[in-house]
Amino acid sequence: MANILLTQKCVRSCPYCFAKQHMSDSAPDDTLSWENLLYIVDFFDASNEKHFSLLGGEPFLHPNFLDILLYLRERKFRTNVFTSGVMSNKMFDEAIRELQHFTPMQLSFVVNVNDPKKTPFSELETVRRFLKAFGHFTSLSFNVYRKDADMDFLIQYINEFGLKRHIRLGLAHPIPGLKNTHIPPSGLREMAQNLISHIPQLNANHISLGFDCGMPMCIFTDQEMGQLYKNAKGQLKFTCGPAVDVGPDMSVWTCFPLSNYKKTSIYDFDNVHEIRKYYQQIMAEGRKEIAGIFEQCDDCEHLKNNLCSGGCFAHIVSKFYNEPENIRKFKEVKNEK
Amino acid sequence: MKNNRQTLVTRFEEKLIAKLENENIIITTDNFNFINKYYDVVNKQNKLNNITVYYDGALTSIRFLETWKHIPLVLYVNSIGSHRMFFHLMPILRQMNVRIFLSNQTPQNFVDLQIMASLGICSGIYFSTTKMDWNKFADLQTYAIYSKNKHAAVEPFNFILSNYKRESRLDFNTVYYNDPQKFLHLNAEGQIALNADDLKAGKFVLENISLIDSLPDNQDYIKETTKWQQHFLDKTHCAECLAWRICLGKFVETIDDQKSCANTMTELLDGVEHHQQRLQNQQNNQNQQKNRR
Amino acid sequence: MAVIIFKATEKCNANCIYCGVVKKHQDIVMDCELLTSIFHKINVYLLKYPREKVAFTWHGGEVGLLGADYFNTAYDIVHQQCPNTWDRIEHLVQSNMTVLNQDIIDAFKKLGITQIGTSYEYYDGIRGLGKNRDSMAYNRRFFQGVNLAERNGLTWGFIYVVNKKSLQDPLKLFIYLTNLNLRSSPMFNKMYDYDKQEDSLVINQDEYADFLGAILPFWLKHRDRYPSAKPFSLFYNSIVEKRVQMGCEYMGHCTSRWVYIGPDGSTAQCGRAGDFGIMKYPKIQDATLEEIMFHKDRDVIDTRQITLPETECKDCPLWGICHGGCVLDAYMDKREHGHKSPNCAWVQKFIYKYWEPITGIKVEMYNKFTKKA
Repeated sequence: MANILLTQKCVRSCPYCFAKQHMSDSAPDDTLSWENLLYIVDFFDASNEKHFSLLGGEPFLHPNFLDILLYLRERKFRTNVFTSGVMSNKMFDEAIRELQHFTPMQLSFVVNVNDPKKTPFSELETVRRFLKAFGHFTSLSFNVYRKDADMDFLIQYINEFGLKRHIRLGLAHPIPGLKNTHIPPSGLREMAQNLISHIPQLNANHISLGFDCGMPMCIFTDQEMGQLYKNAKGQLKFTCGPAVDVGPDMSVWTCFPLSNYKKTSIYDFDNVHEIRKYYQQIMAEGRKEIAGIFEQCDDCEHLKNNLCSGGCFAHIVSKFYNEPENIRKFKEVKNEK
Repeated sequence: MKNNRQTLVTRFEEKLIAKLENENIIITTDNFNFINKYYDVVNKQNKLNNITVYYDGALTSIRFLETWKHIPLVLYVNSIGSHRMFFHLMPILRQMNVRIFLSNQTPQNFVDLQIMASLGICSGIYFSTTKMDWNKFADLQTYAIYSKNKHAAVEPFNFILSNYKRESRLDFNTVYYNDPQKFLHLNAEGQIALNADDLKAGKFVLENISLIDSLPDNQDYIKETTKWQQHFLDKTHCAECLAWRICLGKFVETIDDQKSCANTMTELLDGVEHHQQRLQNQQNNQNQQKNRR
Repeated sequence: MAVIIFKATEKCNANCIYCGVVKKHQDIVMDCELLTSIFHKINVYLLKYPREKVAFTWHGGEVGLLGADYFNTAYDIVHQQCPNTWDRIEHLVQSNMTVLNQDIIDAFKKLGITQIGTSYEYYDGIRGLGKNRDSMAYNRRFFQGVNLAERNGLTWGFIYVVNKKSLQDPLKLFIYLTNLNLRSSPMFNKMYDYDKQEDSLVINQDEYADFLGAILPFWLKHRDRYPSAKPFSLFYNSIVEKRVQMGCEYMGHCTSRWVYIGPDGSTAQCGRAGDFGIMKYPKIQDATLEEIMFHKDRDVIDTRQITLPETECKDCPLWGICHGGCVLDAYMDKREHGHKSPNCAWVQKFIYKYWEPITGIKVEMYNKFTKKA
């Protein structure tokens, strides 16, 4: 599902934030205008994709956020909103009033929560308030940026607020050329073991896991894969492909970690499938140079069979960033296309 | 109804309406209270084309009634008002036979026309000020003509798209009833004026509708319908403008150093011709396929 | 089809700077007796050639000065003199539109006229009324005539005479003139050098080619919008669509097709020949129409079509377009019929400097049309 950025403003400063590069490149008051929104909605409509995610920064900080949701509902779009759940009292009250007639088929929230022990109390309170009010629309998202991440609080939240019994698990990825907190390839196995240790408890609470992009398959043993398979009811993916993000200025990039890499404009394309194809080709070219984040990826049967993409493409681009000659070579490959 | 006759535009005057028969009538008003009555009375022995309400306020401050559903309405409002309230109005607006005109006074109105059109509400821009935001106008025009998505008509672009013929001048004032070949304006006594301004100024060309057959030879009528020629006599920019054929000098008062109106209207003309070419190609393809079968 | 350029009068209410007729100061009007005789001779001609038709072009001077009665009388004469052939006579009219009235229009319609050919000028002081050549008064009356014609369902087309002033901004002029009449774009003709008195407005061959060249890219881009703008459409049809439809002066086949009849019955090869006083034939009073149409003096035109491709126009790729140009122009230039027209210069420049580089279409029209005559 493609992502539309409503605003660059955010209320948090997460250590792993992979939107960092994009945010630093953009004007802080850059918000999506009605004109651009109309164009984007028409663009997706014409592409026969009547659903997308709204992102920020924090989407609730967009001055017309609720109006946008109402408009999208009128256009019969299914909207998913990535939010921190942090917002002003006024906005919260308005949201309660305006969103009461939405159905979960029309609107869903993915609340990105951080470990409560490391979260300021006031922020925690507003997140809890949001989860209480919109629990039936909401699933949780958690970005793993430490090998020993604690996930018990997620289960508590789901049970306490009646959230959707699913957790979207994202890996914090590197931003080529910038420093953010993420787990290097060498630490992924340890992270996987920690993750698997939570499976029994998740199963006991009927909560499934789903992986966001860039999770490599081989960090799990076959036995662990079986456990995951059962937990996720077979809905597992170990792929990395273009998400397609559209900024308020109508720029387009493949995903946040690669927001400064081959950025283009939505006006260069006729539909969203063309955008995906464009970035798929770029990624495919890059992966010809380096197949995946591990050396074994070069000869991996699972990669050849498209069961796994070999980890996040941002890791690959990051490698080139430290090797100037290769960057040039890599870029030349792109330009030939 | 009388064929090839002008539609009569008048405020509601029961005695006058009673005198008319088999006429196509537009009732203009600024009052929403009697809409159902207007509809019933006019349709007794004439045909109501629509009721046009000139409302000095926002769309969202109008209380729409379920009983208006079957009545053709044209609303001239200042703005749509709050987006939030507008979206809440959508369920009832969708059921109405309504066309909503917003003024060119604020840039937001141009965007709101797009919003309305994208939600299936027929809409249009009307020109209440000579201060025109040509960029916004061009954006709206691009949307109205080129948008790949299904959307409701936006006037006057829809009128131009539907009626443009390469070999004749096109006057989009028709959209606003200011075209005496298509619309005549009546006062309460049934006197006839050629356009809304003349009606306001009490400048009448005929004393009543029974004299309408003499209209083609009426000097004021001839003058009005040929006033475009003054541009050629005066050699105005408009007479030398590529977009003349679809504009006829309507924006002569807004001409700036960049000739924004000419650029925008020329883009419009190109768009209209492109649109027609596309339709023609589609038609040709269909015919070819038919022939193959 | 035989084309008769018929000038019942050469009187004109206008005083256009480039008009050869007005300078003749002939104010006579053809009488009814002669008019009757002409239609009688047309009838004889049409009876002899049952598949032939006549395009009878009312020309002037200003035909409107003849008044409605004249045309109504003509209508009666046509039906008296041509009881079985009148439907093979197509009446056409050239008018400056400034003196038309409802009665004249009604008479036109009675004759079956559906369109009026006219002229218009953008710049002041070139076309105008009276000694001072009042352009504004002329243009106002012109529009009154246009309105009257259009109200009566008549269409109109016009010629624009390209002069020195036209060179200021050809594209602006083109847009103005095509806006003026959307149904029919003008024909842009080169101003002719009738005499040297007011030659400051006369353009040379290069200037005319440059004028057309300045418009050509725009016309090519929008030719669907201006399909009838001439000579662009003529070149396009000839070169691209291979439909040779150039004007009479470039077709080389006017030999027995055209005749001018003046107010006194004098005849000549065509309207311009009548204006110039060259290529004259016997007066209509003294010969049948057939004798005039097939007069031996016309043979020079046919002969020229055979000799030119072997001489001055030998191997010229543009022969198929211009056929050596108009015999009158050649005669005026060299006082002999057998030469190519001096207009060859603008055609060559237009094709080689503008058409071919802009369109990328090379003109090779020699073999197909050579020795056509």
